[in-house]
Order: sequence, then C-alpha cells, then structure tokens
Amino acid sequence: MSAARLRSVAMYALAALILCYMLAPLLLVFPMSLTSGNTLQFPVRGYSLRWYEELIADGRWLAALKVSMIVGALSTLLALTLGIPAAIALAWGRFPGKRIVSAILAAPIVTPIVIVGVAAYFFFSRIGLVGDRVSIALIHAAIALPVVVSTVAASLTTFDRNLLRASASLGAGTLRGFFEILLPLIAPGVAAGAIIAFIISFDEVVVASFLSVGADRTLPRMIFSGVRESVSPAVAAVSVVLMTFSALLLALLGWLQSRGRRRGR
Amino acid sequence: MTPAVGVSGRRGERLLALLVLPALVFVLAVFVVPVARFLSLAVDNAELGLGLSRTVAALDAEPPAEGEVPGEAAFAALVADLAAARTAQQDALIAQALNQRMVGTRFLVIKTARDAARGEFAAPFKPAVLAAHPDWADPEIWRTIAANGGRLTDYHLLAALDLRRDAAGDIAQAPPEATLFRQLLGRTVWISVVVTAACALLALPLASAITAAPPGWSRVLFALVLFPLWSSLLVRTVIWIIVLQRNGPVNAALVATGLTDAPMTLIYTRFSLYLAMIQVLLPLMVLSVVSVMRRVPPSYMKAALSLGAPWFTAWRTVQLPLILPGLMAGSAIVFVFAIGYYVTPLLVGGPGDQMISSMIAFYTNRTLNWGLAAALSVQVLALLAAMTLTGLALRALARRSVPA
Amino acid sequence: MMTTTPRLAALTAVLAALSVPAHAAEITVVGWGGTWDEAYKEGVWDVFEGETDHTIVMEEWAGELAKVRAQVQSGNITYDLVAAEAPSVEIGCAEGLFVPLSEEITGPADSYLPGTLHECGVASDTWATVLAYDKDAVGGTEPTSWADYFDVEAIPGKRGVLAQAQYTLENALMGDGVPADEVYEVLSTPEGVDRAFAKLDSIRDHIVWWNTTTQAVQNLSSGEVVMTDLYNARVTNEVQNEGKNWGIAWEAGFFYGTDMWAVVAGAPNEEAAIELVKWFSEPEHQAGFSRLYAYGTGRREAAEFVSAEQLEHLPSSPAHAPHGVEYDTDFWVENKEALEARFKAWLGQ
Repeated sequence: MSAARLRSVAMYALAALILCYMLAPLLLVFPMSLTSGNTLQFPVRGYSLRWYEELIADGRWLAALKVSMIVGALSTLLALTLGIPAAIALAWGRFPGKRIVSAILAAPIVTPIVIVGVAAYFFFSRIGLVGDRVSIALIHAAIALPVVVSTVAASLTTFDRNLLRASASLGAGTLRGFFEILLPLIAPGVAAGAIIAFIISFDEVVVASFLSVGADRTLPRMIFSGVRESVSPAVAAVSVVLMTFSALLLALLGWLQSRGRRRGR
Repeated sequence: MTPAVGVSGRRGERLLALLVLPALVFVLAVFVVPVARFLSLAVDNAELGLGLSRTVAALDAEPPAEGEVPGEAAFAALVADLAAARTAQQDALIAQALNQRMVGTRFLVIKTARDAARGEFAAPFKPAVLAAHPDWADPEIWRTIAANGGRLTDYHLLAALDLRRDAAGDIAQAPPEATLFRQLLGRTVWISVVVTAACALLALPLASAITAAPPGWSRVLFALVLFPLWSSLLVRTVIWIIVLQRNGPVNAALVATGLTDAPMTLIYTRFSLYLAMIQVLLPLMVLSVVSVMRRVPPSYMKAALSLGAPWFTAWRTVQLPLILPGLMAGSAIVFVFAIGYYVTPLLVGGPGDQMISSMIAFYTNRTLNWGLAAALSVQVLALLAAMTLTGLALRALARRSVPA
Repeated sequence: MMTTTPRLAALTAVLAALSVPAHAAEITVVGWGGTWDEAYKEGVWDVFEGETDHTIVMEEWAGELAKVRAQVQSGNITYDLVAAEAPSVEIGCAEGLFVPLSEEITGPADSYLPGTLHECGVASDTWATVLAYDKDAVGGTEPTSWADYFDVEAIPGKRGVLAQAQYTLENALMGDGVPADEVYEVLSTPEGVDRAFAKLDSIRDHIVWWNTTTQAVQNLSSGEVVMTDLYNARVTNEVQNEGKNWGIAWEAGFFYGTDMWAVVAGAPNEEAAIELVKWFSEPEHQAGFSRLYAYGTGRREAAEFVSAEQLEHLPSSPAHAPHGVEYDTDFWVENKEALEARFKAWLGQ
C-alpha cells in the first residue's frame, strides 16, 4: 500500500471511529428502551413494548405532548409571520442600521439560554403570565426568528424580482403578487424555516422549565424533571420517540431542500 | 403590509425596511427589554436603598458614633420604613438583602416589620424596639444599613468577583474559603476551552473524510454528522446517562473485555461531561470546517507532497492556513455555546463540574437572589462580548497585515 | 402490583377530572414528588376524593418558597396547598404568603407533637436523615456511629453524601465527635464550620454525591456505596418492598425535620384547600400516610391508626427518639445562602 493510500484508509477509519462515538449512544437506546424489566440494563434481558404502552397509558405524557405541539405550532406561526417580512427587508432592502437590526434579531440565539429563561421568568412573572403556554411560545418564537429569517433570506437571494415587477405591471396588487408569485417560489425556504423553528421549540427545555408549571408542562420539561429523579425505561422510550420524530422532520427537510435545488436549476 | 415588494428603486428599498419593523419590535419587547431589565437588577438597590430610605437618611443626618447605636430619629425612621414595607409586601426582600450583607438579620427584620405594621411600637421608638427585639442594639446592623443606601449598588457585581466592601468602604477580597465565583468562572472557561479544542481536533478527520469521499458518500456522511444536531439536546444528554451508568453498555463492554473487574463510575464526572458536550457540539465545528475545506483544491496538497515535503509539513504549511478561518469560526461558535451550557452539566456532571449557568439558575430558583443572578449574567455576557470584540479586532488586524 | 395500582388510580383521576361537578374544586397540591407523592396519593388524597366532591391535582416542587412568593406578588397563583419545610413555612407565614390556621381547623394545639403545628402549617410528615448501610456490603462490621461513616479504613467502601451544606454539615460534625444536641452550638461559630468542612475533606475521595433520594437509593442498591445518608422511610421502603438487606444506625444519632402543609394566601381554591387541611387534621386521616411511609405524624392520636410494627420504623418510636435532635430551622434560614456558597466552592476545589 502506498503512503497516500495508507493515509486515506487511516483518515476514513478515524472518521468512522468518531462517527461511532457520535451516533452509537443514540442507537444503543433503541434496544434498551424495549426492555421488559423495571430498570435500564445492558445487555437487555427480555424485550417488550411495555414502556411504550406505559407512555400511552399514563395520561401525563400525552398531555405534555399536546402542550409541546401547541407551543411549537404557535411559536412557528409567530416566527414565520414576523420572519418572512423581516427576511424580505434584510435581503432586498437597503437602509441605515441594517447590520444593527440583524444583530438584534440574532441576539436571542447567541445569548446563553439560562439568561433568556431567567429574564423571561422575571418579566412574565411581573405581568402574571408565568405558567402560560403563550409565554413559552413567545420566547421560543424569538429564539427561532433568526433561523427563519436566514433560511428565508437565503431562498430570496435566488428569486428573480423581475417576476414581481412583471406581475405589478400587469395590474396584480402587491398582496396578490406576494401570495401568488413570491410565496410559492420561496416555499421550500419557508418550509425549511418552519420545520427548524418547530424543532427548536419542540426540543427546548430551559426556557420551558422556567416558565411552565402544572398543566402547561411541555414534553422536554417532563423529561427534565423526571431525569433528575431517575432515568427510567419510560424516559428511554420517550427519547426514542423524540429522536424518531426529529429524524422524520429532518428527512422532510432534506427532501424539501433537494426539491428546491432541482427547481432552482 | 407589503407595499414595496414590487417597487424598485432607492425609495422602494427604503420602504422595504418597514417590513423588518414587526420582527424588530417583537424581539425588543419579548427579549431585549426583559433581558435588559433583568440585567439591571445587578446594580439595583431597591430593597435597601428605597425600602429603608428614611432610615438611611436619618443615619446620614445624625451618624452614630463609632460602635454606638443611633438615636431616636433612626429608630422612628426604621419603624416607619418597615411598617410601609410590610404593607407593600416588601419586608421579606429587605430582610433577605440585609441578611446577605450581614448574616443573622433575616428574622429580626421580618419580625420587627410585622410588629411595626401592627402598630405595636409607640414613641419613643428606640426603647420600644429595643425592648421587643434587643438585637437592634448591635451597632454593626446600623453600620451595614448606612453603608448600603442609595438607589444603585455595586454589591452584587463585586460579589460575583469574590470581592466586597470592607468597613471603610474600600474594595477587599472575600475570605479564601468563600471564593466561589472566580473559581466558577475559571472552571466554565476551562471546560469550554477543552471542549472547543477537542471539537477542533475531532472535526479535522471527519471534515477531511466528508470532503474527500465520492459525492454520494459525502452526502451520507454529512447527514450522519449533522443528525445529532437536530435531535434534542436534552435527549442526547439523557442518553449519555443511560449509556454510561453502572449497568450500561459501556461498563458491560469494559467488564466483558476484561479491561476492568468491576463497573466503573463513568457518569456524573468531568469525563462524562466532556463526552456529552463534545458530542453535542462537534457537528457545529464540522459544519464550519467542511465549508472552508471544500474550497481548498486537493491539488495544493498533491503539489506539496510531490515536491517531496513530508505529509505533516505539507499539511501544516499548505492545508492548515487555508482552513484556519473555518476552524476559528467553528471554535468561536462552539466556545460561545459551551460557555452558556446548563442542562448538560446539570444532568451528566458531578457537583464539582457545574458551570456559571447552573449558578444563575440556582440563585433564581432557590434563593431568589435576583441581584447575584443578574451580576453573574452580566459577567458571562461581558466575557462573550470581550471575545467577540477580540475576534473582530484580530480579523481587522489580519486583513491589514495582508500586503495590498 | 406496585406499578399498576398507581397507574390505574392516575387514570381514574384523569377521568374524574374530566367530569368534575361545577361546585367542586380542583385543588392543586404541591408535594415532594416520587414515592412520597405516591404514598400520599394512595394513603390520603384518594381517600379524600372518595369522601368529598373535590379533586386533587398533584404537582411537585423542591420546596422553592421563591416560587410561591413570585406567584403571590404577580397575583397569578397556581398552587393551593404546598408541602414546605418548616423554615419555609416560618418565613412564608411571617411574609403573609400563607394562610393562618385556627385550632378549629387544625384541632387542639396540645394534641400535636412538639414542632408539628405552626401558625400557618400542619405537619405533613416528620422525617429523619439517618445513616443507612447495606448489611451485605459492610463486611460484618456494621456502622454504629457517624465516626464509622467517616472512617474508611475500619469499613472500606464509598460513602453516599447529599451534595449540599444543609443536613450534611450536621452529619460531618457528628462524625467528628460532636454530640447531636451540641451540633448547632458548634456550627454557629466560624471554627465549627471549618471543622465540618475539614471532616468532609478527610473522606473526599471516597464520596459519591447524590442530589435526589432516588440517586441515593440507586447508589446503595448497585453497590457503588456501602453506606449513605438517607431519609429513613426510603430505607424502610426498600427493605419492606424490595427485600433489601439494609440497616439504619439509629443509635449513631440523627436529625429530624418536619414538613408542613400550608395554604397559599389568595389561592384560587383557598377555601377548598382549608377544607382539605381540616379534613387532613383528623388523626385517622393523618395516619393514612404514615401507614405507607415510615414518617411521623403531627397529632399524637394518629399513632392509634398505625400498626405497631410500622410505628417501630418511625423516627418518633420510643427506641429511636432518644437519639434524635430536631433540625434548627432558624439557623438555616439565616445561614443557608452563605454556607451553600461555601459548600459549592469547596466542592470545586
């Protein structure tokens, strides 16, 4: 074997090893969550769907899932409504202070999450909104907003603005031009932004743990408080469900992007 | 709503700016203003400065002699202050603030406030208060109150650096056994540095493999590396607890291969914290390294090698400088995220592995010491801001040093 | 059995919640979570729900009085009844966060054991932190004192220790030879605090820290530690239900504390919560928890409704009581913040 070949083999082997470290733990949880025992053990002694049944039987998990879905949907909707116009302004507009505006919009995602959570807790407790799912959705929307803006802005840069001018010259109103020409063409970017916004909200635990109490407990918040007590097979089962869910959304995202690319050509 | 989308020209581009307003107002309202208000608590002295304003004023007007209890005016002011605070439900906060500065005064304040609000003290107040609560005869309490007047305070900001003001009002070191926060800051930075360095090292072979592999494989590899980024941080952290626990797969493998006789303690250690944090943050580093590596033509390395340079020398002198910007950008991202870590240290670290964020949460949740929580937050944000500025300055310097 | 019964009960509770009659209240009761909550549910809340139209919504917390304060100050109160440690009840009561309870509600004050009745609270349980050990793991030499706990040469093996200053510094001083009833006298001096930390320092490398009781139980179960500080009912539970061969060194000395039920002032179901406290104050109802969980009750007469065997496991039993000293709640109210900060600093050194 030549030295170059040897180096190449070593590189792939090393990469495979590191990949193994990143992914193996995620995969190991699948069999472990199928245990029929009361505790998580490896090797697994007996397999069953017992803990998945437990998740469905115990109303609290489903209730938390529902809260997470609602909060995720609310924050995604909000992030899109605010983010799409903002992306248009930042991609096409030219105005003083544009960089400062971008920096302010990006601030929620680079600020340590605990500071965001504590500040929100302090703020909402003053106005009596702590424990309300709306308060969680508001903060999640602020965190997701920069991501939506950047994905939408990216798809805007490939958009030919002459199309809008043409439609305007043909007498189409601005709103019509937006909904019938612009939106369909940047749809993949918007969808990607929406999915990422939803995942951000759906996975977020710190803000949720400061803001949610009682009936408005999100799924990650449930896991978080449970895990500090003990890691049960039920938690492993929830983890598997969440991971599968994220993987599906990610696959959807990849599909959308490849479609967008094809159309772009 | 979208008047300018179809409009062209300078005016149109100005008008387009209006579209960013809703988002800007929203972020200002739910993020910037709340964070700013929270951070302002670091210097806020409402509890003592406002809550005990009459007492402070009385002590200012007639300072008691060294080691002496003040006179009737101060006691009358105290009773008035505490009665008002009690009615406004602020007495507990005054008690907590005073107890932070002088341990052992909490119940004294709360009970005195209760009695004052019930109207149990009549003039002359000094003997009445001293009879009911003799601890007010300690001159140290009065000195502490007098020293902590005013609307603003540097108490929390100093405390977050293990500093305090001594009796003369000069800044002094906290006693060595109580130096918590510098150690905490050092530990937070150190953990972040180790994690960043490890991510940089591990990202190199991964990114090289992704760039060198045939396109189909490259995409698969990239997706595999990025997958963890999109599964929840909490789930990935929890999974490390499951994998590293005593009855977990790693210990099972260690015992089965005879590497150890008995299961080892892997979880709730600095080691497990590093493992989990690196796994969580590595994709970010790979992302930014791959993006620069793709722009480096493989022919550069080939040329260097064909000229007879040893591989490492060729890599160091040809490849590394070209991918350095990506490594730096990736390191900056990883470091910024690592500094703010909370969930992962809490769940997989030991009690000695907690980072600043945990402490911010502790003071918020457990003791409602908003001032110290805010001061620690200011510290973290200042650190991040300093880093960003240094980064910008270095970049500007690098640009200038490139010969035109 | 252990897992299905609470689950069924939870299901019925959910169903019941869906069909609440209009005049009945949904009382939010905040407990300590885990097995403690389960025992309370089975022994007390389910009985209450059966006897009245009210339903109980269970929440858990870690005793953060700050949360109650934030709720009361914002006027957005979600907790009705909370289980709080005695010092928190003391502070909360002085601040007006909790509703004062008359003897008409709690029953005669002189029927309560010392320290189990407060102006604003009725004991939910009296618990003790004890020295627990695995009889199989200590190799024949069972610990009889906290000095044994700190002596890793006499009895080798790791020790489980609660990762906080409160409750841990007391044990350290007992381990250094301070009699239980003199601990706070020593701890009130700077030298005493140094002494406690020095004692912890002496076994530093042999400590496995725990934060939740479940962790402590797991550490002892898996053999990671041979002895640990632990709340007494958790030990009894494991012995009774899981067949563990564990022991408690009561004679080593122990501290006990009382948690109390307190009604949050201005809570949405304040009246129903007071009604619940009144119902709970009946000795028979108080006993419902102690029957399942080896913690003591407030009223003396409650003992009549607990089996003689279970009574022996309580910290208040005649055999154990002489070794017990009450936690000094006032001390911790004033010193907690400073000592916990020092503890964290020490942990990181």
